[in-house]
Amino acid sequence: MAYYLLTLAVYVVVGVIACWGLNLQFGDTGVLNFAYILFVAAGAYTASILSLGHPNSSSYQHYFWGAHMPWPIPWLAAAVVGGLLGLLVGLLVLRRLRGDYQAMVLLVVSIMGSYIVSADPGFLNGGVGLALIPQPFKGVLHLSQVGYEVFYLALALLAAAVVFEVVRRIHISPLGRVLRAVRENEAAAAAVGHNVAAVKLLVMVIGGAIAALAGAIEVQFIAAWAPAGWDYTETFGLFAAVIVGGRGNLGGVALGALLVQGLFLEGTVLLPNIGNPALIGAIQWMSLGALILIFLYFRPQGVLPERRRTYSSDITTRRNRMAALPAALTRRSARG
Amino acid sequence: MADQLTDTPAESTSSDSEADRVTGAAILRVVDLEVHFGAVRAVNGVSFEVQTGTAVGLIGPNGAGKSTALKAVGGETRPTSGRVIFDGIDLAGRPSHVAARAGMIRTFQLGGEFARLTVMENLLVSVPRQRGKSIWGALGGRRWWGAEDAAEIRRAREILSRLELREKENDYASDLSGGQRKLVEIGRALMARPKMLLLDEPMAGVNRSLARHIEHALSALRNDGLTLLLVEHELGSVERLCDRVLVMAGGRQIASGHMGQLRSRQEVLDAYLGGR
Repeated sequence: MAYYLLTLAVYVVVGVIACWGLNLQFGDTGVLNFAYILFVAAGAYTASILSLGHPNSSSYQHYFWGAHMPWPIPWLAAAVVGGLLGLLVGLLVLRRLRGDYQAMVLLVVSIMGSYIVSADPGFLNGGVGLALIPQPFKGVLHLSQVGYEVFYLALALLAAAVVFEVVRRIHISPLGRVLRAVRENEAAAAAVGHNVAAVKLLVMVIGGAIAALAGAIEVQFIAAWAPAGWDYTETFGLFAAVIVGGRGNLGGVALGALLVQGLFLEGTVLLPNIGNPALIGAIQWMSLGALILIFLYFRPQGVLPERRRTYSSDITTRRNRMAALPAALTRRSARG
Repeated sequence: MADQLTDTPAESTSSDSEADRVTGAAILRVVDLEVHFGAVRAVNGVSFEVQTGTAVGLIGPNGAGKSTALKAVGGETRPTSGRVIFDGIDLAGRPSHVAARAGMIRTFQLGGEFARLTVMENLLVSVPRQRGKSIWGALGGRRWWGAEDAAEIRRAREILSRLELREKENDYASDLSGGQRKLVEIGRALMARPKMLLLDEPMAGVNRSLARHIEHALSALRNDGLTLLLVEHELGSVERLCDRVLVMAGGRQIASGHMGQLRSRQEVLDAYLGGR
């Protein structure tokens, strides 16, 4: 049971990280990146080939290049590759197309990416995918399986803390205001001096890097990665988490990842086998679609809506707020 | 109302009297502007100048090409040909964010607000060259950009007070009336420290009281030395606000002058005023 819960916890942490990246693009900036899972996959493949070592022609798995890199290089390299992929895709898609067409092209890019990897067995081992991907410090620590999972969960939480701080700083900053302005009204944002395409490109790069990091963490945990695991439909699982939790609210998005990735999708896996074995998978995706529709109809703002940002009239910096805290507490205790 | 409503550049605030305004150097020169949509010539060879510190009105019947001309000047619509020289820079065909960064900020006829941002955030979005607006500035944290942001918040409050919107600063823009949204747009434009405002029907669809309020606000800006180019159907407001008026019909500029003179011009009466 501990093994199962720890595995689930790592999946949820990976989901939370991925959803924070998606929230930066979709929740804050309004970019409908229907290719998001492609960035997760890019990170996973990057971490894989940077851990597996040089390809061996006599091996059962083939890939174009590889190296043995110690942790955290595979994770960092994955983030860099995700960012560069975001730059490339963004340059292709964001500059000339309108928002709805951008979404369609991104969906097509995601499908194309999956087919390209599947079609060439020599590139990233085709549809079979990569396996036996080394896990960080596994051979050094000599821990039990549960002990290693606890260790890996700690590594994943460390990465989550770093990602949270990055997205939080962007979220509360004047840049965060610009992202939300672009989401609300692109023409008006441009009319006050913001280069909308450059702003969207920026979130494609940062969101892409975060997605790729999530993929790297996941692949070094499960030690295998294949195109079947990053079908374009997986993107909608992440969108569901952001919509259910509350787009634009970092806590809400984390809650959405917990509810959708951890409970909702996992809950359908626990259903008893009835009829065709493929039925469970179908029920999973049908119920996910229904969940998205229910929230978009009845609670589009999600469980925890985006917070209204207000500014106190005389104190605005955290330092000033902290300085004012003792006086505020004194006033409260005097009232109480 | 007038004093300190805007933080305009020194070269734009130096003159106060109408005479000075009318004789100032041209900050905007539009030369042979054409905008075609297929076979339709929405703007057909329009040329005019706007002197620094003056208010110029662009009037004409529906379909005259006024708003299209304004969009082409502001960069939202790409002109087919012609030149738009603003403050010495040819902006023709450049996107609107380039025009805005050069100091020419436009407001919208409809739906120009950031609906799910508060009134205060609407204003703060347009502050130029702010520390926390770059990715590295944002990652630097509040200690890096907080003091500058606090100063801009104080400036935004001054503008909101003068626009009589101070008590609305924490309301979402979507919760305001149409007239209040127009005022928010004007306030937002002022936060950008503009040299010139392009205003697309700032009084359209607004009740009489708020329309007067908007007119007073614009009048105060003009008196502070800010240059205005506005498209407006409310001719009384145009007459009171504008030093000079251009009349467009069928994509062409058919007359220009003071509103009082234009009322007696036959071609204007034929095209627009309907014999009033």
